[in-house]
Amino acid sequence: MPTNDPEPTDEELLARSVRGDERAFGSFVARHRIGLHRYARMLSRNDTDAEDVLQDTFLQAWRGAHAATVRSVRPWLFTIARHALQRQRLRRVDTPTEAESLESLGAAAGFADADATPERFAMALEERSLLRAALAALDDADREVIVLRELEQLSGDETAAVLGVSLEAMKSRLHRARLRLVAEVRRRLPDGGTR
Amino acid sequence: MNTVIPPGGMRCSEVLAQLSEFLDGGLSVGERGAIEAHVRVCPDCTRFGGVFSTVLGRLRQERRTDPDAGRAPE
Repeated sequence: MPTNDPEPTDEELLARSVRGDERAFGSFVARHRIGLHRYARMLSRNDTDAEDVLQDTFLQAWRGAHAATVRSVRPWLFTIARHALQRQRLRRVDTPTEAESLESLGAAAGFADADATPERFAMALEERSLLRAALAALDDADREVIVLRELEQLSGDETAAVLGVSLEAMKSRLHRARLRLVAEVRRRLPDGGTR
Repeated sequence: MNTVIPPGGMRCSEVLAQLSEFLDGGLSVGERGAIEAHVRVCPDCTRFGGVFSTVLGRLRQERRTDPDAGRAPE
């Protein structure tokens, strides 16, 4: 039966879920599934892993909604998803990403290369697969901060909270990740970026 | 770049370090003014700032147009 009632907020859906309303939780899942799946898929090795992360995330959210007061839903969900990913990665050793100097990152991105012009980049990026390939070439930590901040558009504070780091640490990580992304795009310029 | 007195009182490496904060609007008026003064007379920083913002702009555009943005290839 159609109604003119406004869409319930996330908080209302969670409150109903806590009272046992599975349909409310279904609506909550439907609302957040796409963004969380994108996040999980980009940081997992394959669709199966991503789906596991997604299921784990909503299961933990269902349980957590009963035990916690959720103030800000999206950061809370992405934090749960991140923990699910971390459990999945337990046996993987990620390369530290903070050691490389900004100068060398800038050089790789074309900072002092007169041929690396905005026009060349803009033209090359008309080919959408180029940006996707550049993103895919980043390591997990770099891709994660870019996905959260640029694609999911979490605020700086929210992104830092999801990553479990200070705002300043998040900013540093994001800047380095952006530079590495530019470097990956540059390497894929049609007539070849010089390194 | 690399002049004796850096334009805007900043070195290119300092501009590079603050580029994200500059584009994200996270700097004070004074810091922002220094970068703008530098960029006005530094072709390298002007060009690279353009490259950096072009890539970020394209990334954000991807978010609006493609739900699978950035998805890693199979």
